[in-house]
Amino acid sequence: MTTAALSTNAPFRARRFARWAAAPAALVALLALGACVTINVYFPAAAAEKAADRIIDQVYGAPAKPAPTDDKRTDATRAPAAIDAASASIASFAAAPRDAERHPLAAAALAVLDFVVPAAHAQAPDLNVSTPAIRALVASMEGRHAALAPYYASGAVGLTDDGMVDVHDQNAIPLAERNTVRKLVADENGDRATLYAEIAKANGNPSWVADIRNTFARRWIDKAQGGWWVRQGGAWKQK
Amino acid sequence: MTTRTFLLLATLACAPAAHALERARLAFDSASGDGWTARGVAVEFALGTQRLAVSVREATVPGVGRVRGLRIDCARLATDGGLYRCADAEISGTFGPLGAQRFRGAFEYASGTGAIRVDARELRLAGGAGALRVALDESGWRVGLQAARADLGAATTLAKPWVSLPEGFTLGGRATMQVAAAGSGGTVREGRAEIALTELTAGNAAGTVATDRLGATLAATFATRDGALAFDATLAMREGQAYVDPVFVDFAKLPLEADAHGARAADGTIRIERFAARQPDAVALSGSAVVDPAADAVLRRADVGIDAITFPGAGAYVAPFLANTDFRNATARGTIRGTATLENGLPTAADLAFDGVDADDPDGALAFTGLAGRLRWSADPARVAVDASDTDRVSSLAWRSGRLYGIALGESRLLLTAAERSFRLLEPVFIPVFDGGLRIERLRVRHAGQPDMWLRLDARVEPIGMARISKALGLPEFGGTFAGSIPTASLEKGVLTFGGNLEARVFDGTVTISDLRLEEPLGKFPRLFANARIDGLDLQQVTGTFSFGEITGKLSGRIDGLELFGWQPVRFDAKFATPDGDRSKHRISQRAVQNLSSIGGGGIGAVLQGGVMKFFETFGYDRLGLSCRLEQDVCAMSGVRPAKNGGYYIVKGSGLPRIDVIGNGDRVAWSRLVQQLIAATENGGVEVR
Repeated sequence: MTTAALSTNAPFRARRFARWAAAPAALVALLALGACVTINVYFPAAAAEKAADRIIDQVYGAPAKPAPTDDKRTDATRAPAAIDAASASIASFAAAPRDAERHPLAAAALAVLDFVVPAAHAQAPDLNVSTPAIRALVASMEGRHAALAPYYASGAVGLTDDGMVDVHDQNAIPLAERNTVRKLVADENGDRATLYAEIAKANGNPSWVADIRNTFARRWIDKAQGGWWVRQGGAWKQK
Repeated sequence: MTTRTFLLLATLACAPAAHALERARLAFDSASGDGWTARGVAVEFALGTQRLAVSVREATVPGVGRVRGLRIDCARLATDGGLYRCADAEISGTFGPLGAQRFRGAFEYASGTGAIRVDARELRLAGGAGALRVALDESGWRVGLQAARADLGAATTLAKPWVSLPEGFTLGGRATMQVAAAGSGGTVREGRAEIALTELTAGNAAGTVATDRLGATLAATFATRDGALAFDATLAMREGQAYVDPVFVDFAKLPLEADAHGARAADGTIRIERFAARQPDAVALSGSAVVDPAADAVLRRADVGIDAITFPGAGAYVAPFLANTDFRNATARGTIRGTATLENGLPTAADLAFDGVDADDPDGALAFTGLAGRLRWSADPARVAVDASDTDRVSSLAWRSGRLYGIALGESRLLLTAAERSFRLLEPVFIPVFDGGLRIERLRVRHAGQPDMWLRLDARVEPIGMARISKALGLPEFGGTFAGSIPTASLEKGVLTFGGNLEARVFDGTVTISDLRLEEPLGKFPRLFANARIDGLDLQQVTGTFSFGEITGKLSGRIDGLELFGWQPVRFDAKFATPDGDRSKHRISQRAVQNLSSIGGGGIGAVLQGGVMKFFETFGYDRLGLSCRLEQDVCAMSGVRPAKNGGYYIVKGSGLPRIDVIGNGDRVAWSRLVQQLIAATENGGVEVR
């Protein structure tokens, strides 16, 4: 959650100024006090959990939810309609997609919305997990899950509380497959580490990586199937 | 000694009664001797048939443990002077860990010399059949043991009093063996052993050592000479699989034959004077070694002759160690030969020669064919070449051809020095790339293969024709050159940073790339960061090359903060426009207008002044330009200047007939923009009806 903590004698420090960090709120605070503001942007735990769940469901292949759509992006993806409009009549070409926005009333409404929306976001920030890098990583992990799943089920590979996977029981792996499993584990952990860093980066807070990793670690384990092995605090337990 | 005393007692008991009695019987409650005890002993001898029957209720015999209900029934005890012999006796009883046994055997006792021979047949040993021969005389002892298909699991239980497996270690399989040894006292004089293990399935609790249905035969002869036990051994493994973390070997595919000749000294040190190990199409090694089983580093020293390490077969031994590196999916083909020295378990020197080796790393897009070279490596930096003139100690690496990210590298030869984990180029090298190349002035690598690997490079790109580069990148062919200097490229913490600029002279203009940085260059998702400046490209050539219609005039611009993830753009801020004060002719063709109108995807439109545009092939323009700020899949677009009624000018027309192209889509999905661009250049443009 984002909060603006005010203190009267601390020097002005704008730490971790997130995109959705309530700019208006900060502005108001500045105006009100005329000085000395400390803004702490806390890790949005609930949003991170939601984002992690979406990714984990995709990787684990959980009951399909509609693909994450970002309302803000529909403008852009509505492009074909614009092209069609252009084809139909050159005269209307110039006035294709965002007609409504240019109507004075609509424009005013939008301006109000633009002002309100960031504030609303500040209360319930959404973690962006839809960058090309994150999608590539998730797709890669999703593809690998089919290969890893039998090893989770057999207890050969388990989940660890640092958001990674590790070999739990070598003896559950046929000899000829042990190196394949080692590679799968190394690949998976490589992707996971990159994923956590990318999510932190995509949200403008590279320093969140540890929090994101912890959130994922918890959710991977929560969403793991019964019978899978989990290492918590150094000890393996069967879920 | 124990048997001897026992028989002596029995004989003494019988002898005086021989003349008067038909049967002699002797019984005593307990007897004991040198290390053995017996309770409830009865000896019965029938003089007529010479049948001897001995029964012992309970006895403790060294080496066997507790024996209960022992019965020895000898149908005929032949006596010949001082020699007592029983050719066929039946023996039964419960023999400690060997369990209940009933077997046949023969024994012989010479009262004069005290020599004893025991020959036991039909022994049941761990589910298999066995035989044991023991002979004792003044010169010493001889033992022979035969076992056929003994169950190793049961044998472990049998062996528990003497040998126990580590906790959690499981063992199964069958053993057939023939062991013969002779010696005196506690010393082995000579012997031989032939052991065949089949379906050996073993493993420790951690799973770091395991075998599956392994078949192995071991043959060895040994003899004591000058206080040391000399041995000659051969080992063959032709079936089954083994895993010794992290190496997995399938012996059915890579059968192993090994032999060793050496001696075990009184202090326990094993000196292997000569060993050889062969796995056809994988490994052939030979050499000598000193092993000290009591030391921390068991392998004290080894001088190994590498007769052949052949890939891909030997990959079984190399690949597991690359599992956590970027080269985990690398493959190789070819043979390496040479020598290596190990001291206290660690390599100290190696001299490896290879020729005709091909290596390919599909992930990192790095490949070489016809690798040849000589690696003269030492753990001691004082023992390798310091300059190229030191030809006896210099390392070299050459290739016939290579490939880096799809760019072909020509034949090159590098002179290097290699010590510890460091490599250094000893003289500048030129690596041909198409019709130009890369001239490397300096190259140093430290901590090679470790997470903190460090690399420093000074190089220059000597002009490469863009025609070849564009073709390699799958672009329409165009002219120009690509060149630049890389004064200090460095690799640190997996990030490759390039100093200096790279410059492409294309389309009569220049494209300058600066601040180039590659993260995880050989990883699965390399990340590239760069800035680029574009100066005075001739649009006529650009549009001609990319079949985009025709535009004349110049184009300049820049791309800031370019970021590629897995070679796909994920972020940049690009602006292209007609440069200020450009005085070249500004014309744009009908098709180029259509293409420009469409590529913006969505919001871009053309306002045409004058309705008869279709009669004109080209139009004049004042300025054109487009910018895209890509972030999170969306390109925030704008043009050369805002238009009056909203939107922005992509082309600001001039003269008559006048055409303006006005973009309205200020946020366009990147994927759509790319599709539109491809459509515009491939299909001859988007149709405007």
